[in-house]
Amino acid sequence: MSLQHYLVISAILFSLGIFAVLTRKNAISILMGIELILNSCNLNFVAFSRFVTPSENIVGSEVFRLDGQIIAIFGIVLAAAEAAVFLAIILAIYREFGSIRPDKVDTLKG
Amino acid sequence: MVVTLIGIILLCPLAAFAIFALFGLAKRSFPRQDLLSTAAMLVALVCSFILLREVVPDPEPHTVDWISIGKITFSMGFYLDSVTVIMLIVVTLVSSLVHIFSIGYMHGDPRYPRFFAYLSLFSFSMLFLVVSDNLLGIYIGWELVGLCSYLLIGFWFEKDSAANACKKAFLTTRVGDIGMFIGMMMLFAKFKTLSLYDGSENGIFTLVEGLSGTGDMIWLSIAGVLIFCGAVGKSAQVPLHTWLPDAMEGPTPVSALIHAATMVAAGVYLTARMFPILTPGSSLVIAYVGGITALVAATIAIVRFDIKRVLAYSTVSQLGYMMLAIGAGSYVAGLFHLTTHAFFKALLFLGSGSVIHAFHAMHAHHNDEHTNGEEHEHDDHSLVHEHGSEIPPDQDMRNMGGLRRKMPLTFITMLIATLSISGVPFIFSGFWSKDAILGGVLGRAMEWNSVHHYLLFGMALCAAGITAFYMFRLIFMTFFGEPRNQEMHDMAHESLWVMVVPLLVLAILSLPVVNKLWFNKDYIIRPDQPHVHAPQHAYVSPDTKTGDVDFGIVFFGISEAEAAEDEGGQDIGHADDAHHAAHELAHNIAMVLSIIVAGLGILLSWLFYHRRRFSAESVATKFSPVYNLFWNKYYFDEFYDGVLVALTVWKSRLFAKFDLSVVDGIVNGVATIVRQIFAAFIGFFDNRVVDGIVNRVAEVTWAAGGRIRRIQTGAIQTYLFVVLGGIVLIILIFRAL
Amino acid sequence: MLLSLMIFVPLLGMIVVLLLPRESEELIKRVALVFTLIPLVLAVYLYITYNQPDLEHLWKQNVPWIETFNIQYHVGIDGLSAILILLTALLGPICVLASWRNIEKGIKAYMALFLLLETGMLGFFAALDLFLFFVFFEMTLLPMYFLIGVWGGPRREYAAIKFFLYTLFGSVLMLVAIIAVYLNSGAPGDRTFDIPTLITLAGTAGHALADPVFQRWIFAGFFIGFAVKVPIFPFHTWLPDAHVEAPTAISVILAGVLLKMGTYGLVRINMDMLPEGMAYFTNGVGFVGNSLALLGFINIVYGSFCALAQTDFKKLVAYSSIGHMGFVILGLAAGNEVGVTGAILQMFNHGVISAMLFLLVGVLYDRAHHREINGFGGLGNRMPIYTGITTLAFMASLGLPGLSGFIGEAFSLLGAYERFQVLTILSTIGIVVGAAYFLWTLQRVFLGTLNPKYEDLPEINRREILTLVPLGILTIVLGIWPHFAIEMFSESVVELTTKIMGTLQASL
Repeated sequence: MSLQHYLVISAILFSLGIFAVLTRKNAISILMGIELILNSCNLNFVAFSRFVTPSENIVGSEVFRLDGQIIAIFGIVLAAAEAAVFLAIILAIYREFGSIRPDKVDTLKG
Repeated sequence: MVVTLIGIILLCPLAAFAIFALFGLAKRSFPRQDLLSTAAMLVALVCSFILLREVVPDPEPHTVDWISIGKITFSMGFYLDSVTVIMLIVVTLVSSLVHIFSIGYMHGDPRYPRFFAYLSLFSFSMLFLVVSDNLLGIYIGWELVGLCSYLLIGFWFEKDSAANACKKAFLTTRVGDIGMFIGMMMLFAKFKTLSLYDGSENGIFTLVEGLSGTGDMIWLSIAGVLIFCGAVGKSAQVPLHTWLPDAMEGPTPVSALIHAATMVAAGVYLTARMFPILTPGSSLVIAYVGGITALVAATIAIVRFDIKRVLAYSTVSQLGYMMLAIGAGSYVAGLFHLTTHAFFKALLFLGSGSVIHAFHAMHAHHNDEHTNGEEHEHDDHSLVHEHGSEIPPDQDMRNMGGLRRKMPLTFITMLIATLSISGVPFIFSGFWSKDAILGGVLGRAMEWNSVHHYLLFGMALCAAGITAFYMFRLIFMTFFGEPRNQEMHDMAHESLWVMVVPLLVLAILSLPVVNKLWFNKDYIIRPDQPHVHAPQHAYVSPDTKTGDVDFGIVFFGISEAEAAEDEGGQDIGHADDAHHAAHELAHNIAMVLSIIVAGLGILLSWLFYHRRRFSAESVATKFSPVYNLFWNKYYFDEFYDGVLVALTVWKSRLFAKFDLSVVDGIVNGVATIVRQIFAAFIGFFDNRVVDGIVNRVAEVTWAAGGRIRRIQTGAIQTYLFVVLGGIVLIILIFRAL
Repeated sequence: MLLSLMIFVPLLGMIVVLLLPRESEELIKRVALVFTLIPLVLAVYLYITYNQPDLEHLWKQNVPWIETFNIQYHVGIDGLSAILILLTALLGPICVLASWRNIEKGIKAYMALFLLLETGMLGFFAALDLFLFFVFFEMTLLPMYFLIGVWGGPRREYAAIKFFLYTLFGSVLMLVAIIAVYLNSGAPGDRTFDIPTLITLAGTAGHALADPVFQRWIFAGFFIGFAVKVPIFPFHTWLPDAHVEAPTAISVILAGVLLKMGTYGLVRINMDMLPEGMAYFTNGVGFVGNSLALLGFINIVYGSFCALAQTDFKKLVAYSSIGHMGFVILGLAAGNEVGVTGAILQMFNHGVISAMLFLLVGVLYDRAHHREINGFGGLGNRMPIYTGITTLAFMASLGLPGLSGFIGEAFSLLGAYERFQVLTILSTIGIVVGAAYFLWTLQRVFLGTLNPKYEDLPEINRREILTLVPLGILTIVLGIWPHFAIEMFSESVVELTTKIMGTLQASL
């Protein structure tokens, strides 16, 4: 498995996420699209970390650096937090507008 | 010693006033202000008598530096010569007696303590004026006595006439004071000092000797006349005499003290003090003012019915005499008359006060005012006030008559004073002093062969006759005949002892024997007049023409014998038979003539007012133009009110209007022009051009915004789509690069 | 150090007042009183120590401020500024006391502005740097504008704007003159605003500042700036309006101190720095040579006559101020020792006496709520103490000897007579007219029968007496022994007049 494979998978996930975000009429679906995008990024981090970051030679043995992986974990945590906030907002919107369809919520229309 | 005594004399009355003022601030009053003030005056009196022995010839002034700026120093100090002491005694004596009299006279007045406080302040000011050794000090005392006079004339200020009179008095004298101040400025500009006597540096009297030449003489004459202007105001000389009769609105003791005996005599005192700087020119002006005043005031007095006004005009007339004396060079005679006049005129006023008081009217009148209050127009206060106001019934001689039985002591004392002022020979002081003046004027006339002085002598002689006439008219109308107003007559009674005692003391002082205490020949020394010389054509011996002749003291008037002796004594050193003879001759002629005119005056008065041989009314109708002239006081008041005061008020209105409409108008006009025209243009430019651009920009922005806002759909997915498109676009652009 | 402390203590007071809650009015007044009393205490100490060489350092300070333009914070005193600082510091607490009851709204803002005003006035008299001088000059303007414009009478906006614009007009000319002096004071880099240095330079022959023609123009510029403040005819019409509308305490400050800023400036700048210009306008030759004395004469006579025609008590006092300031101008124009001494005394005494007069008008206004002279009458019976104090103030103002007003007037005239005989003699008309309007007022308000409307008018109260007594005592004491004041500035005056008279003689 080379880096390219990971990147292709990641690109597919990203595209699916964008598609979901742009086309879904349900806010929950949009959230799921966003999650896809985030996870595609996480995949990229891990992949690059594995294949691109040079290993270091410490006391004679080859050691891999785990920067990408750590950032991916941060990303997952952030995604969880973001989902919580998002759901809270969705709930508030539902209470206010009686719907969670984003095209119904156009108060910001100029 | 001298300084201490003078200090005590000044501080006692001042302290009495200060105590009143301090209590006043605390809204209280000192329990016995009357006794306090009187005691202060008595202490001053005793000190003055002690000072009588301290006089030395050619004394040094006792000075301190008051203000010093660079090279210029103004000093303040005391100068004690015989004239000072005589003035001190006159002031403290009359003042003490008036204080005592007032305890009775003013009793029951609601502002009783204040009256005594004012009297104390006055006494202080007058004494300060008298002891000052320099013009600035004299001026300070001068104005302060003016203030006291103002306060005391307006003592019953609820009366409009009193309120008007006090203002008039202050303003009229101020006009004269301005002249005096200008004179002081002239002297100061020339000599750089206002000290009169030599102290640490030379005083004016020494410096003035250095002047010579026509220019300097003209300058000095003008300065002398200007200084004399102050005296014209204060001593009520024509043409500034009109305030003094009005000043009779004040309580009668005030009239006696201030407007007869002391303050008005301050003018004479000042002129006498300035004697060494007088020139023939300024002397003649002074003599003429004095002579005219003596005559004019005497004629006005003939037709008055208000007892106090008669006395007021008589005061003006007598002050004119004194001025005449000093102007004619009879320095000692002038001061002698000042002294005798102070006593007998104070006596006359206090006597009239006693009469007024006897009618109970003072109280009645006064209480009346406090309870009812007169009808009073508030907007009627104006700078122009009315004259010929109603004579108060208690002062109208037409209501009196026959009082000699009711008030014997008042009658006798007043009669003594009247005999004295009328110049009844030998036993009354007024005769001697008046005679000294007449003799002095005639003496100079004969010696200088001067028409002016003959004329002045004639005026003085006429005035003497008229004086005798109207004074006896007063006595006859008041004390003789039948009571004209029975009701008031019945109420009349002899006054309290506090009021009678001062009368008796003053009556004794009107006898010449007492005056001998200080008027002996060594006492007053006539100062040199370095610039007065006999004119070229004068009938004098050659050495008089050279000019360093002092005419010496000529008359003391104590007695004929003494007078003759004095002449002999005084003229030692510049014995000059010609002028000696002239003066002796003049003295004798004057004496005879004055006895004749006085006798004539008294006789006529007796015929008119006692025997009723002639009717005053019919004479008045016969000579009605003259009578009207006298009755209307030569129309001085009308002239002043109608012309001078009206002009001043008119001018002030004009100035105020000018200020409001022109000066302020220009300011507001400029503001309006700036606002209306300049600002209108700027406004136009601003509105159309500057603001126009701003508005166009705003409109365009507005319109553009209206279009562009369509993009803002509010649908979040649209935005995301655009974002995505943007990203793609950016990638494409970067790829293309 | 102490001098700077004195100047800025009121400013500190302003900050403290601003921090206090608006509702605690009594506290605000007390704080303001304390912060005006501190400068007074310091000023008394100044009076005791101003001429002791070992304490001189207390009363001056010189630190760089804006170094680019060589501007310094330079303050110091001589006799003339000391006496005016004393006057300012004295009137400060008196004005706070006078505002105790009759400021109904916004006492906090009022006191804050008042304290700012006091800093401006004290600083102005102490400033020895032209720029600083100008800053303090302007610093008095703004608080005054608001104090008249907010707490004034019915036409307060008009009066305040008139006052502001007039003074600003004058100060703009002054600013131009200041800049001209600065630019001519040396090569770029050496230029200075320092007044003592400039005075020395202006006296150095050949220096650009010593050029007579230059001095004349600069003189005119400064003069107009100060003339508005004095005020000198024809720049005086803001004064009656401002006085009539201003609240009592502000009138007191206006007449007592602000007018003196103009005459102080004339002495400090026009006479001391520009003797050639001074000589040109006072050499007695022709119209221009008499112009300064002529303006003094016009002020005296014109002000007095205008006062005579007024029926508003406060306006009368305002016009009388114009008349009295004329004596100051006349005395300064004389340029000799007696005249200048008289003028400076007159400045101080007029400050004291006019303060009394405005306080007295205020007392009456607080009770009767009008100031129409003809509407009173007979108050002498109802309010004897008030009448007594008013008589004292009137007599002092009309120049009664024995009270301080006389010395200033008399010396101004005595000095002026040596140089301008005719104008001085004509000016004495003002003395008679002065007596006339004061006595006439006294008669219309206090004499005669009591106006029944005012039968229950309360007598002057303790607080009001407290504000008047110190001024009254000063009036009497300085009338009897003016040396107390003269000794402060006589040295400065001798120095100044020697220079003026020297220049004058050289120019003739």
